[in-house]
Order: sequence, then structure tokens, then C-alpha cells
Amino acid sequence: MFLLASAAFSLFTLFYGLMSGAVIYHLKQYTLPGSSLPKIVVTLFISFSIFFWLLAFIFLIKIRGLV
Amino acid sequence: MLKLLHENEEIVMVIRKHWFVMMRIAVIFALLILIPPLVLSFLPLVTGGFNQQVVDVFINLALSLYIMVLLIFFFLIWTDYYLDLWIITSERIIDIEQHGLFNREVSEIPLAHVQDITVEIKGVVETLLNFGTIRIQTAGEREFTINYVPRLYEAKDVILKYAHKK
Repeated sequence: MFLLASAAFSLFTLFYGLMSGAVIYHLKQYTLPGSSLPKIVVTLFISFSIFFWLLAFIFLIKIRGLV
Repeated sequence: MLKLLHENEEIVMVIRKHWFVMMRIAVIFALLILIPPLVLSFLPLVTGGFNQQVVDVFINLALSLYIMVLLIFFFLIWTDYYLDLWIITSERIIDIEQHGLFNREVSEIPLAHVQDITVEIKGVVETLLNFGTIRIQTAGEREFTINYVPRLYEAKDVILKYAHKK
């Protein structure tokens, strides 16, 4: 069960990372010079993503102890 | 981005869709966040026979991932919204349409070709929040439509002012 959950979690992390990278690339590439809003939004997005990823990771580790 | 501009060309006005467009999407996402509590209230009926501790951990894991999915989609939609632009320069109107990722369309209308501009505000929301549609008729009998434009009259005046200079 834990192996299956870990594999799914890794796959999810991979897709999430790729998609986040692509969106951030677009913002960096096409934002008008002098705009500060994208930087704030990207910072917030990364912060929330790291928080929820860590939370998910902690729950994943807990599965290992339980199953 | 500035590579788009010609020599001696200056940006006069940058228009993005009205914030109401993004607000509608934010409301949908807020409703999507409310789905898990509803599902969880019915879950004990299904998971009755399982070890409750294991079920709780799986639910928490799924919830964290669900919020991450909402987060990335909201970020993607906001980026799409933010990168959809109309740039009015001293020479032309540049229409930049971002359709999701890796799909971008840039078209332009030289101000010298602008013949007629129609401003349209339809409905209660558009009237109250002061946004609407601008239709630009060009010399080639093509019509360009820009939807959800805030500061409509200001945009129209700026376009006409620079079009008359041409």
C-alpha cells in the first residue's frame, strides 16, 4: 500500500513540478517590464505549494507506519 | 516583451480584462474547496469497516493533494488572465492572447487603419462595474473585438487620439 501511494505521490510531484515550472516560465518570459505583481503571485504560489506538499509528504510517511 | 515595439514607438496604455472575469473564476474555486467537507460528511457511511486511523491519514493526504491541484489550476488560469493583454502604443494596438500554456497569439492593428470604434456596455454587472466590449472597425473591413475592457471610454479616446494623429 505504501509503495503504491509513494509511486502515485512521486508521479503527482513530477507533474506538479513540471506544470509549475511551465507557468512560471511563461510569466517570466512574457510579463511587461516593471510589473511586480507576478513576483508576488509566484512567491505566494511557491510558498503554498511547499506547505501543502510537505503536509502531503508527512501524511504519506504516516501511511508507512500504519499499514 | 519590449522587443515587440518599433523604434520610437511608446506604450500609451495597457489593458487587461476587468477583474470581474477573475473574480468569477475565484468564486468557482472557492466552491470547489467546499466540496471535500461535503464528501467527508458522507464518508463514514462507506468506510465503516476500515481502520479509522488509516482512513484518516489517506483522507488528509488526498485533501492536501486536492488543494495542490486547485492551487496549480488557479495559478494557471490567473497567468492566462494576466498575460492576455491589449497594448495601445503610439503606432498600433497589439492584441496578445494567451491560450493556456505554449499557445500564444499576437496580432496587431495599425492605428492608421482604425476607422470606427464602438463601445458596448451590456447588462447590470457591466454597467455597475463599468466594463464592456470595444469593437474596432479597420480599413480592411475587419472588425476587432475586445471583451471585458475596463476604462472603456478612456481606451476609446486614447485610440482615437492617436489614430487621428496618423
